[in-house]
Amino acid sequence: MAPPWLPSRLRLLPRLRRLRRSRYALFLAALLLLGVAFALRGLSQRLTGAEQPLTPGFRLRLLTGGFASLMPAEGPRLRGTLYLGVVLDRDQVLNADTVMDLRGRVEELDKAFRTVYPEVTIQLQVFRSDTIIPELAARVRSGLAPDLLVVSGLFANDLQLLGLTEPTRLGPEERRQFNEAALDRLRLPDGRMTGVPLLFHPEVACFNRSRLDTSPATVEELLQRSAEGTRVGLAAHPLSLYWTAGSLGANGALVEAARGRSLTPEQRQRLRDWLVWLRAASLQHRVTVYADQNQMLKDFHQGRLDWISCSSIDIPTLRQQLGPRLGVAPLPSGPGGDPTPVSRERVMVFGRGSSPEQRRIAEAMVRFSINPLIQRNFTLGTMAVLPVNRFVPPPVNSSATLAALAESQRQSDANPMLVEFVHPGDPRLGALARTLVQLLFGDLDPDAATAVLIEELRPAPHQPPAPRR
Amino acid sequence: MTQLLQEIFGWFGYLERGPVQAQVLLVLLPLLGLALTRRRLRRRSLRPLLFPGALAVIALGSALLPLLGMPNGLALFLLMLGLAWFGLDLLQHLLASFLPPEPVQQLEIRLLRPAFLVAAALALVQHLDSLTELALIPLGTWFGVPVDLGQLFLSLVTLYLVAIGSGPPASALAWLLQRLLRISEGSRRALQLMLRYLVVAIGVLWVCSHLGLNATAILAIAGGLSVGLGFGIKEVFSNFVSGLWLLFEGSVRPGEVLFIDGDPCEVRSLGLRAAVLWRDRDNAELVIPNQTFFTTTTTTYTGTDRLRRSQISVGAAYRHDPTLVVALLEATARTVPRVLLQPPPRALVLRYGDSSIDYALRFWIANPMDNVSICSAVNTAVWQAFAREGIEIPFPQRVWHQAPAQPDAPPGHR
Repeated sequence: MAPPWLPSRLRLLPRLRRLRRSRYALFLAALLLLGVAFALRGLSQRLTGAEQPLTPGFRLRLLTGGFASLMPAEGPRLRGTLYLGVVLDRDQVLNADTVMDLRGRVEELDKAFRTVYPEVTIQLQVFRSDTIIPELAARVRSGLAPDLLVVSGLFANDLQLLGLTEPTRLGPEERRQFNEAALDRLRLPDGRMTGVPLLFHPEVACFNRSRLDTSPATVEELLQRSAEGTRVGLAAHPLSLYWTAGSLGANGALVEAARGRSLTPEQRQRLRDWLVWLRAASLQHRVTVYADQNQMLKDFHQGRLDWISCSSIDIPTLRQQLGPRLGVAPLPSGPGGDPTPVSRERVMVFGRGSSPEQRRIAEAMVRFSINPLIQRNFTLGTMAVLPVNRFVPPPVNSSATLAALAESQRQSDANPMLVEFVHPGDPRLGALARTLVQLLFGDLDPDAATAVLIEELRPAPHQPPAPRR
Repeated sequence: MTQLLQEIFGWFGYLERGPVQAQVLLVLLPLLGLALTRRRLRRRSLRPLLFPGALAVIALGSALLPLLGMPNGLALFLLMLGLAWFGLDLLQHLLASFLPPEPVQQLEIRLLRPAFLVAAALALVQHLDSLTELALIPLGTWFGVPVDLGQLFLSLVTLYLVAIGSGPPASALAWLLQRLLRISEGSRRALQLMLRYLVVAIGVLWVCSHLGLNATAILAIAGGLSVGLGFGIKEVFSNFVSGLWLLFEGSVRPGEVLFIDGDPCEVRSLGLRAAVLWRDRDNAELVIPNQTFFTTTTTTYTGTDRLRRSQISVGAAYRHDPTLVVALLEATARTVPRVLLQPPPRALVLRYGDSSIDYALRFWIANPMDNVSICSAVNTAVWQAFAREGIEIPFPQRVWHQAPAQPDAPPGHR
């Protein structure tokens, strides 16, 4: 028994000691722990939420920009944590620079989003496309899947087909922001969408301005410059090399082969010409073919290469390393016409297992991300992506980089592409990659490679129908 | 670090989801019940069944969740962790039937349980977040080298594994070398310790290399350490260097017998800071800083061989012929077990004392730690032999004599 002269706080001690022995002690301890955890989380939210909005008057600009629907004027206020997953492509480097760049972009988005929804916290999670399916499946089974995923457009349908994501419906206001073609690729037969387009990463030419004044305009000029001393890097991955198929006129043949149609002698010849050019390029003294795209990027920024084909995803990192020496240009055309670069479309898909509040936050984030102001900020903030919103024309006159990206996107949109029929998970893509590597490293001659390619691209009898363009 | 804390706080956001709450409760409630029941259960024999019982309840609940349209992956994952923890208990019992208790306990405490906890924590984090992304969280620049969380974690785990896990391989290699080179037991133990230090040193170098520390950074660390050594941990470092030196020198190796404060003591281990010696007399373990052996004279019985020459002293009456007594003493020593026949026992006439001729019997024994018990046996055998042969062991006798009192003596002269 504590003496009565003790302060009342100290007199509690014996009671606490008794409580420790009581049957509810552990339960109370667990509750206390949970309470502390929530308090700390709230504190963390409050601390990060105290940051200044992105720009003064941002909220007003949102309102006056015709996007009053973004504002939580009606209904309950949104509050909670949004788990935002970003899926990196197989050939994207996952290192501290990549994560820091991603974090920077998400923080910018977070700041802007908090201007409208100050009580929402965004938690970034990074995944790799080669492990995303088993990882996401495990998370769905646990109820721990991200609320919103930013994935390659080629992946969105596959994830939905596997039951790992939730389809959504777009309202007329949101649908109006996109070209119909962009939505068609993601539309399910019942009208729902597997995802919502976010931005484009076109494939372009990156060159070192201290070694080259301009990028070669044609594939012939590329080889000519290489013979004169320019060091060229090409990645052996089919998606990275695919632009050459357009320049050499083989794109149509590849698409036809992937559709399972028989090729005309002319298409077959064009396919062969393309492979002959690739083989000839690989035999050039100063053309290096890389099986590992990351190594190619590393050699480029370390000055061992002067010209490479690169995805605009890599531009921020290269810009950080090369500064003003980095030049960006459209890829070379050729006797077959314009190149056919693969533009990587990023789409937002809804995860499974979100709470109703988290789903509402995810929907708000989607609406927020596709509005013209944010899309414009994405483009101007990175100078490495193109908006999907058709009301946001990229300012091509003020930036050569954006002009190159826009031109590449135009070339990509102009023709049906092989990737629309052969998705990343399709075994035909792996077979195509193997054949190209065998050709480039001299194991197959162009004639044999032509026959093998046609055979390998043929769809299997049970192959699901390709999505409409 | 702020970023890491934000990530950790962010995991609690999953508790906003009903199915996640249900799974967490499904796991927590049986475990809470287990903790409460264990304290109140009177029949101790039932206690080992409580944990499997709780796991069974969790398994049953996990099986029911899909029927309610809820995911159960998290609950199953936590159940697997519980089963693995239970499996570690079973493994401990299994190992205890093959190995002595001490190595099993060390293996469990130092390796198995920590390894399980780290693996479980990593797996849980992978469930909640992306380990790759967390590993890339920058922690700052150390000596001009950017260090991230993954590098730090891997370095710490490597150092721990090297420090803890290098014991058994070093022991095995030292045993193999002992067989091949026929080195002594003490040398084997020294070799084992040196191999272990070598592995740890390589581990430290690997960690420095993994972190990308260049020579300048390592020099900076060494410079900082020398200042630290000069002021704060001089004694520790001095003991460490002394320990290494003693190992190379071979004077204080595990298994050696040293004379400490008049008692033979066996070196049990030579650590980074101190050596542990075992004193047979009272089964005490003495922890002596390595530096002590480095700076003071050490008496060893196991420097070049493990033989010890021991000696007892005895006196015989003047009437007995010393030649016969010497022969009897040597013959007696040869009969005592554990006294070596080669080199042969030697008896010597030491001196002519006040009441006896003093003899010394010197003999050799194989294990210095057995000196006291063998001396006792020899002394007993000598007494019996003297008694048998009628040889007297004289001893001074004191006779008290009280003089008669003188009545006219002045005070103080009695």
